Amino acid sequence: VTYAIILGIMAAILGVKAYTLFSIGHLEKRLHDLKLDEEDVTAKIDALDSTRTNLERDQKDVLSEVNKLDIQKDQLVLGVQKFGATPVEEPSLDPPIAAVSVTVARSDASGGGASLEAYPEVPEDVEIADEAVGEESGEPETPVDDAGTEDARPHVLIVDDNGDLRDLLSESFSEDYLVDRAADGLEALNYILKEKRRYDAIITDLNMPNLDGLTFLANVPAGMRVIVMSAYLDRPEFEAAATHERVFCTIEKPFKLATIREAVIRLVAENPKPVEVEEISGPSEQPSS
Amino acid sequence: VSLALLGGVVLCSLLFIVYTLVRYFETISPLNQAIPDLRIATEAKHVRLVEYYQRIEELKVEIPRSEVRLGRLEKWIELLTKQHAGLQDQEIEKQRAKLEKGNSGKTGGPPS
Repeated sequence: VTYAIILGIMAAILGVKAYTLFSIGHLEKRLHDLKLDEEDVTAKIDALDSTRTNLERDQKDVLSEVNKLDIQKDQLVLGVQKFGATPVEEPSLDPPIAAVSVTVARSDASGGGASLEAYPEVPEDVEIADEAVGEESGEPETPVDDAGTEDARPHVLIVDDNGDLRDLLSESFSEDYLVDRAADGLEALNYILKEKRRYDAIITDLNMPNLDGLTFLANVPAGMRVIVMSAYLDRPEFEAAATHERVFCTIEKPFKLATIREAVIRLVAENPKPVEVEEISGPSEQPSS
Repeated sequence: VSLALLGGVVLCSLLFIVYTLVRYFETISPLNQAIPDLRIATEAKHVRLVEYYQRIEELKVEIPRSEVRLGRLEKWIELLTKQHAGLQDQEIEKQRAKLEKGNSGKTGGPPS
């Protein structure tokens, strides 16, 4: 009996020892895996950081060149005006700014962040095309409507004072949607109220000259829904816009094209056909804050 | 004798088990602390990775646009320079014509 008890105790001791060893080994393995993950992410960050630095340097160079030329252009315009003549207008888009097309294949913008697979490397398929594209080569600010013919595609209005972003979004949507562009709320309201255009989706910025996004929202007729984009989520006007009844959703800048495309697709799918705007009206309501 | 042996074994076993458990908790305590720290650090790096990725995407669009703008400005400046030069030439011609007219008025002869 004594020997049996002793053997039992020995077995128990071995069991405890085995359990502790296994448990420690398991934890060490997890730690090791996490360290590998971290090193992997760090390596990716380093690679992206160097790419980003190079690109930012390139952009800085180009922008400084643009600024220099802008100054030179202003001097020439003044020189021409001194002679009492009207300076020549800016040449038409050749190559057109609006023709710069961007294709972003990656769509997992809202990845959870827990696994490395959620954040693959920068895709190689971001293409910048310089060719002119059909109707965009004319006046950039005119709506992309097809010569008075009824088009079944949903109608989208993009309102932003940033011309580059306007062009980018317009280019991104123009294949599947009829796109109108406005540089501020006033121009947008002109389309909606005076020209009585109907939109299945409106994308607007908040901070714009002449008429800001919040005032624009207050004038958007019933039946039209708006996607608000802004870089200043902490500002009170963003909070006011986010709770406005015309607002479908809000998107933080910078955003991925896939994100805004998805939002527009959802809005067009959910939004009932917009009603005809009957008359030009003043502010229809105050934004709720 | 057997009981004494058994007592010794039990005592030693208990001591060994206590020792093993103490060592075990000493070992896993820093490991348990390190794992969440490392996870948080890794997730923060993921966030940074996404930010870098987004910035690179933006730059890949912004740079060609700035280059297009640059090209347009160059073209515009070329046109403005031509216009400016043409206006200057016209002004010089005008001045010259005026001067010649004045000279011919003084001499009384027909303008050349």
